[in-house]
Amino acid sequence: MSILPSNTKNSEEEIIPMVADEEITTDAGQGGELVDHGLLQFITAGSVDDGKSTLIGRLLLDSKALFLNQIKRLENGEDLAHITDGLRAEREQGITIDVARRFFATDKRRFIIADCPGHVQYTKNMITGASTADLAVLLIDARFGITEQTRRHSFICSLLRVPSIVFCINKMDLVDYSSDRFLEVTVALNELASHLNFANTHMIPISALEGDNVVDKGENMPWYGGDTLLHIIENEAIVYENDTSCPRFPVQTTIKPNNDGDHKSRRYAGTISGGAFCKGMEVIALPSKQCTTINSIHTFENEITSANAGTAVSISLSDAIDCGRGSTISPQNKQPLLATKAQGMVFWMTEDSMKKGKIFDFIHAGAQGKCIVSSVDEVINLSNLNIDIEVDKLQLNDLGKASFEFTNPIALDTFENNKTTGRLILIDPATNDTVASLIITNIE
Amino acid sequence: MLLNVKNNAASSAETLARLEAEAIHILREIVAQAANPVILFSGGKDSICLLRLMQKAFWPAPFPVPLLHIDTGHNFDEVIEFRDKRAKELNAKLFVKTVEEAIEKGIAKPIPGVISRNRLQSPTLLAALAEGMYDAAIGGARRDEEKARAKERIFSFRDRFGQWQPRKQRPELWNLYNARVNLGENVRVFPLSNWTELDIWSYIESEKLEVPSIYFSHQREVFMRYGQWLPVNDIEPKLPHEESKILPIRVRTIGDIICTGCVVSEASSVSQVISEIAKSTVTERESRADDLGSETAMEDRKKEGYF
Repeated sequence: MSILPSNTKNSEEEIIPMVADEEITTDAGQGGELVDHGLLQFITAGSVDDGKSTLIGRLLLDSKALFLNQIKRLENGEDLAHITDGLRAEREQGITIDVARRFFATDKRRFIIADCPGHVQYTKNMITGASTADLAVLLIDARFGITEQTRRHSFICSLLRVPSIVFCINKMDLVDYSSDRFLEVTVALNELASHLNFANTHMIPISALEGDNVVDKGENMPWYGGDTLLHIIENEAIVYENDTSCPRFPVQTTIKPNNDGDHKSRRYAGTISGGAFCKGMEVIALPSKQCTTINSIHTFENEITSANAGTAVSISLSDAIDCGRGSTISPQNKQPLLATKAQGMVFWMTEDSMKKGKIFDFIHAGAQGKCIVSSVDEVINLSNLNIDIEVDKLQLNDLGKASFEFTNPIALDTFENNKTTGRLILIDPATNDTVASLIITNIE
Repeated sequence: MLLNVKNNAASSAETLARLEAEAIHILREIVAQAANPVILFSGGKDSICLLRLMQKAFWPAPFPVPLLHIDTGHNFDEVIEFRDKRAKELNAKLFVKTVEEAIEKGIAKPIPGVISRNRLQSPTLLAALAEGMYDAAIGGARRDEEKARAKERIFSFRDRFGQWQPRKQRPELWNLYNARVNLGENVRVFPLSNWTELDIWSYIESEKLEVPSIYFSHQREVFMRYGQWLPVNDIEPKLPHEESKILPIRVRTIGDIICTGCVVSEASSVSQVISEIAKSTVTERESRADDLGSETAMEDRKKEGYF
């Protein structure tokens, strides 16, 4: 189907300058200056046919974020669900295979939606989307209630420490907008949520198709006194990765200015991944275990006296010590553990199974190297969240606990203490593929 | 007609700081991981931001990677001048590989009757990457541009044939990026993946970056084709029935001159451009005739090795 603009006439009337016109008014723009209140990244997840694509179409349409060509397609009778369709194979099969990012803004906030696949075999792609999300929107078909995918996706988001979850009980139009049905589903969801670890949990009855409680409240569910989905995502606090009790500075690279000579002109570049660092702080570099103080902290523009988590800076140290890519700088009194053995939750993402004795390359914020699987300890059955300890391997899309030994000591935290330094990816040295994510739970 | 009046705010300092930190992290990571990285620089607004971010990431060290331009030969003169000037200011090495030369060497084969060199860019780029033995090519593509791009990873693996395989993308978790490749393969790295057109212009404003003059309103002779105002040029002359006129126009995205659509605009400063696109109801890519061919034009070209 062609999306060529239909306006191909060549007449004087159509030459409308696009420059800002003071007379244009919008819902958002009357009066004062518009302000962007930050960027929220969220995922949409749930089972196939729960209505994710329709929900995204609805959100974009009602928040006036669709472009003219998309609106034309809607007017030509195209389904709301197909407005955001992606690749050829996806359109042919009518499914979502990989995460697509969609961008929209309201007068309150900017959003990036990671639109995640619902099929079990594409869970690895869902995890790619969830790993960077500030919030998860999980769809549930009101007719069926909690399914295996509800458990799987909510558990994965909880494990990845996505701060907030919004359960959207969708297709309320197909259960006569029944408050009793909504209550039934929320009772079961509350039970599920009690096993999970979200800072904020919301539940909303919606109809993505009709629009109720997505952007506007609508008239079909007067019994619902809560907020709409848009209201929640516009107002939820954005929690940056800021584990204040564990200041960490994994060194990405060393910057040597032209006139290299003095060690104080040498700078260690990286992104602060927890807490804050300040000039004069007594620090230790691991794995070399050498101590010094911070001589200076720089951005491109300025020398600064302190820097918080999430900022990309470069740091110079007061003494010439053994430090570089692969080192982690931390306060002397709040060090990570220098370990060669650790246990963690593994999400396995490739066809070949993971077994004891297999060797992988790993990438960690502060280190790269090799590790060996010491043991596969348990597998979580994601359909009912039961734990199976009689296992010897992890297979594609399995989540389970395993123990590893690293060839060199690395500066580790548990994922609970520091989201950045408590995670790794594993790479198959034969194919160079990323085959697993590892969330550290125990360090020896 | 459904009501669709948008009016977005320019990106805040907070949003730009978050995006900038992410991009700097990505650039430091690829320069550390790759043996021989290169930045694709066309002189366009996105790659201008990319160069600024690279400069910031390694400051005060010299600019750490060479620049590569795949030149179709169908250019706006202003952009080529700007490209050379910027490379000189940054003291960066600039390599230019032309489609013309690739055609002479038989690397790229023109389709009879097709004047656009858009598709010929892919073989030219692949040959340039092979010749320079580059294992990583950093580009300014953004996910808000187009739906195939919306699906692509920040570190996007390309096989020996330069192909992007959308169904076999590597998982990409958190900010732990995997740039590993075997000989002959490469990764394309997109530090601006999460930026929007509005972010780019807001960044150009906050960093006071210079951009080629054709991004601002100027008088140019244009003619209407496929619903687009195309610049009158010597390479693909307008047909006799196509009427040309001189209009105040600017470009939103720069490509091959024969397929770069111009928008009628009086925006003559960065802040006026920002107000204009904040209210725009068409996407940037709709001004590129090369993407209007089919629903999957970009997806198909990416599979051939295109950026």
